[in-house]
Amino acid sequence: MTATLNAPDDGSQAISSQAISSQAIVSLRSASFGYADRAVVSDVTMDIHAGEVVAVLGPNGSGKSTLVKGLLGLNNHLGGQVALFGTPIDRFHDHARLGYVPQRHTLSASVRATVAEVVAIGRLPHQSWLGRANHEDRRIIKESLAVVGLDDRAAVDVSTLSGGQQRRVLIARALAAQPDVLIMDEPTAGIDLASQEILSQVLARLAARGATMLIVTHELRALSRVLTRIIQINQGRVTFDGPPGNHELSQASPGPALDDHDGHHHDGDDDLPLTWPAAGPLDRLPGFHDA
Amino acid sequence: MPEILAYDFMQRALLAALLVGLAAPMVGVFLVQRRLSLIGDGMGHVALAGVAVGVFTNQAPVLTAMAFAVVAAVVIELVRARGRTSGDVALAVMFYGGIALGVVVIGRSQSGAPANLDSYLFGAISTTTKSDLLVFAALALVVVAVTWALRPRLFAVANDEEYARATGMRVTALNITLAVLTAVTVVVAMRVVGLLLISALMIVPNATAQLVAGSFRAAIRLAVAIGVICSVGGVATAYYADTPAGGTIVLLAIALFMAASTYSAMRDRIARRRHLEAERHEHEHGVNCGHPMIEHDNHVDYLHDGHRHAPHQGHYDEHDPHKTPHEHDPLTTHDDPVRH
Repeated sequence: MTATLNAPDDGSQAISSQAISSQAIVSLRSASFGYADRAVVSDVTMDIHAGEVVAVLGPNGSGKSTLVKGLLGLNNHLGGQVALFGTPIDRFHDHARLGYVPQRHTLSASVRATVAEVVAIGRLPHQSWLGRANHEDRRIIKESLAVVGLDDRAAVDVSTLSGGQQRRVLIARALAAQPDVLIMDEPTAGIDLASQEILSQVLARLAARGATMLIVTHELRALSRVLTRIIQINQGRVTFDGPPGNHELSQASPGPALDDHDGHHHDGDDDLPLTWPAAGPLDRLPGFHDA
Repeated sequence: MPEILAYDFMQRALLAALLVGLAAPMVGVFLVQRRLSLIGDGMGHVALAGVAVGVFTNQAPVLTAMAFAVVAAVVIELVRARGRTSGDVALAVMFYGGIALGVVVIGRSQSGAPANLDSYLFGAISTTTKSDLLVFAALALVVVAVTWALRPRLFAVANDEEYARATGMRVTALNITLAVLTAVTVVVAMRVVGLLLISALMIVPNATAQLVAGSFRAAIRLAVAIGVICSVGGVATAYYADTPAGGTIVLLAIALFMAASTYSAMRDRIARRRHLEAERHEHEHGVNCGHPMIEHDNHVDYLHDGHRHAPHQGHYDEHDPHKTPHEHDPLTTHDDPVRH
């Protein structure tokens, strides 16, 4: 790996000399993220604006999950500048504006919890310590479930749902927080084709409502209808940043081998990273968030 | 007034049992949710060392036990937060070290070692003094109030720690708070059910409630009701049957658990027999799916080729396959009688 700045040939490097953007939802300048002192993804420079639907694409272990988890404060910000909604990340506390949909194959089934109870967690940032869900909260929970097409399952034990339905419950939970951007980690991984189809309808519905989305994925098929931009990450570096059409062109020309971004269907645990855990015990290193 | 209430010591015992029965399941549900059902047991071991130190130095054993248990609680959470595999072994060393230290120190103290040890390991509710009861009552009320206030956030953290962290919740602080609440509950309950059995009162009522309830909210209420019934009922039973209260309480809780297991197994078997899954289709019904929606009791059926699909868990059921069409409300049009 070279020590020089990576220079994607689509011109995005031009913004790197500027200060972080105050208008952008997410603004990165030569940012790097990782665990402990080891950077997994580095030298990322980008601005994401309202209304964009961005796929963060890359093979397993490329650092794409690390990048979005860094934005959420789930790992260590190791260098460069990062601003969320114009606020430097170390001073950013309005976490409800980022709607996180984690990668989960199943929801915890250690105790009973209804779909509505799980989605209600999304409302907590808007409630005081002694407050409880009021009429307005319940309306928003119901509406969030309607967007993902699960309003008829609100009272069902969430562990009895299929994997694809559980994924939609997590999207509804993120929506219930009324975020300004949805950050999704592999929303279509590990679920059957029919559920992927429903999920892509849900994403299309969100895009039609003007939602800003940052979607980590290793396959574009389910998302192709809604994307406005693709960011390709390989070995911890951004290797492409531009509209989907240009991405196809860049893939057509000979370049670095990108193993699995299309058509390669994963299921179950097959798509766990081989080299670096995207979501693993290392996430729980203390001292970076609870100070 | 029944005979049992005529004695001051029994009044105090019943009141202490009520408080413990209320607090223990409330805290315990989050331990079950985080799959830490045995952590209360470990804290009890460490609390024993605290009791022994209190007895040895002529301090109030409740206070020294509390100090030991709270320190253990914080250490447990910090070790867990580090997520090291060796943490498991470190906790085991701490727990067994606690009980061993307790046994040794209490054996060296002058004031009748065996009787003392027994009363803390297995409970000695009828010897509760008035001042003890006041301390227990205050602590139990604090536990109940704090747990109630934090309930939505403790639920969120136990449900999905990473998401809770991403929404800015103070996950580590909440986990430590839960551990400290557990420690205080252990100490409050040690005179009632004993350090060796306290975990049972935190866990078993929740296990029972999980079998029967349909939501987290319903389960927590049911568990608290079961906890109060078992602890108060156990103390009363122990009085009439002349048995140790702690063991009686726990046996009562286990009896209820077994009854609930039997009930839930039978309910599932009956449900399976009456339950006919609809043909599998990739189509998922919804508001705009094109299939007429029929509001029905507390759910929505979708009219699909003349038969009704009711959402059930992750699939659809044929609605009431055993009924003939005529028993249904007249809303349905049965142009396809095959399924009925």
